[in-house]
Amino acid sequence: MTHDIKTILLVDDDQDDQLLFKEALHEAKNSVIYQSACNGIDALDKLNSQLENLPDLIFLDVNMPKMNGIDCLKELKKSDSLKNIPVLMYSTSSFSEYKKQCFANGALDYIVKPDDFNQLCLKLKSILENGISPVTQNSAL
Amino acid sequence: MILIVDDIKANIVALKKILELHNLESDAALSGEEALKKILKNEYSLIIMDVQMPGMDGFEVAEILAGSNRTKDIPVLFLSAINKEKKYISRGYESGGVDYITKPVDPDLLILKVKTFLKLYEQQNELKNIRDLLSKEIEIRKEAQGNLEIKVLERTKELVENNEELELRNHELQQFSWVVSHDLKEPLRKIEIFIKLLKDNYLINDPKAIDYVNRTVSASGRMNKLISDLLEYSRLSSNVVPECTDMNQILDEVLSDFDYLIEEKNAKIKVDNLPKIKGIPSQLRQLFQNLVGNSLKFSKPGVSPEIEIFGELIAEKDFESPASPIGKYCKITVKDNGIGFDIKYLSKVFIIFQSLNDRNAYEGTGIGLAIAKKIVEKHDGLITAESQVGVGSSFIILLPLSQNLE
Repeated sequence: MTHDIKTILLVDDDQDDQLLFKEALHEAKNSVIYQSACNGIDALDKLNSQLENLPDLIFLDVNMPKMNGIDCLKELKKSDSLKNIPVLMYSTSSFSEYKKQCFANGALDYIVKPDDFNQLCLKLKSILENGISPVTQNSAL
Repeated sequence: MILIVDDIKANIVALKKILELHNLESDAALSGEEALKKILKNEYSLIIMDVQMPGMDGFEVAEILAGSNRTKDIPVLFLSAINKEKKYISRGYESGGVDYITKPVDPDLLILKVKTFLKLYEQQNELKNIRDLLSKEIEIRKEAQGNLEIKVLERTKELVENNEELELRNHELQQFSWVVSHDLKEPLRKIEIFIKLLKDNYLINDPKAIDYVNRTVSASGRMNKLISDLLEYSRLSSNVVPECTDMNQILDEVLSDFDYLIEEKNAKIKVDNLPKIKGIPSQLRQLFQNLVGNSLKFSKPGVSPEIEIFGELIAEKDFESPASPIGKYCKITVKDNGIGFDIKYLSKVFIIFQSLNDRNAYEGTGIGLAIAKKIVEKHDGLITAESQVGVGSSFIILLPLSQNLE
């Protein structure tokens, strides 16, 4: 991914993680626009209502109520207008079965939520500056 | 009892006398009809029967007796003064008689015959009784076997059901502890992140507040470790397929994880002669991570840890078993020069949450050795320790080289 990331959508039901993510994102790069949704359905609704103004990157939590991250990922990849938005899975769980499913359904990477705010800042900074290259499944698992 | 059947009373009396002389009891009937009535009522072991009688003759009586199950085995001895021709004798045998004697009769010969037939009858009866007993026994055994089979089936079914129930419970328990551990970790992660943010951004010039926060961070760190260990412990119950595992490689990986600590403590570590065994690599790694980790952790203050990990093949699953190059078990020892422990606590060290040491001086959750023991047991092995306070500890593991894990 080479183009500039101007807008990031975080799909996460956890309010604390939303807050931390938002602050870390602005710490990493102040100009990035942060959007949020609190579950898969909410995310799809939001995206479909702003097709002209889609985010450049989606961070997608795995365990969420109503529609979880894996199902949301499948829906995103089914939609012609949404399937090109790069998706990074973002979860506390490092369960390898989840990872496999996410990669099988087109996620670019699987990021385990860091235990440390600074780590999160650094991770986001690196993504914003260097972009993300698709991770091969095996090295990620 | 012998039954004499004759229409002439004098004949009966004479015969009776002869039999009495030989202590043989007898009964009498004066006609075929009377004989049948008596036979129906009483048990006789021999019938001495006249052939020619008014009404029903001897042959007819014999034929009737032969047709009934109850009477067909009673020997019938024909005795005749008149019908001496061959055709009568033949008929006598045909109608079921065992012998046909013609008068005049030699009493001695008659008695010999009577005794022989009585004996044969007795033997026949004995055989019949034995046969009856045997068939009864067979019936009983068949029934018992049938019952046994039913019982075995019932019991097996019960066991299978119990087993399923247990597996279900076990699975539920694993799920439960997994979920609990995960859900416990989640808020803890937040506590750690926010408290660190607070410390880094707002408490720059307040040493007392920083101290409080540091204590909070350290406490939540301990809790995090505790939960991780619990998670690990509960995960051990799940089934994984064993594979050929090079213990040297496992130790390499473990030691590289401890790189930092080894350097910091200036530890000397020697690994020697470890075998390849069939096992679950992740669990074996965890096992040595815990043992080597303990050796590094419980080192004497100011003394560089010296840790030796060495293996040998032994013949039996017994700590005392002698070394054997073709042995089916391996004994691996992790020996250190750390603080050691009083050997009277040996039974306690492998029990979950039994941390022997002062929490402030040595960090430990009290799960590490419990996990080690569970892993060893899951590999059908044994673990024990030797130790001396202030000298060091040796943890000794026996593992089968190849095995069928549960």
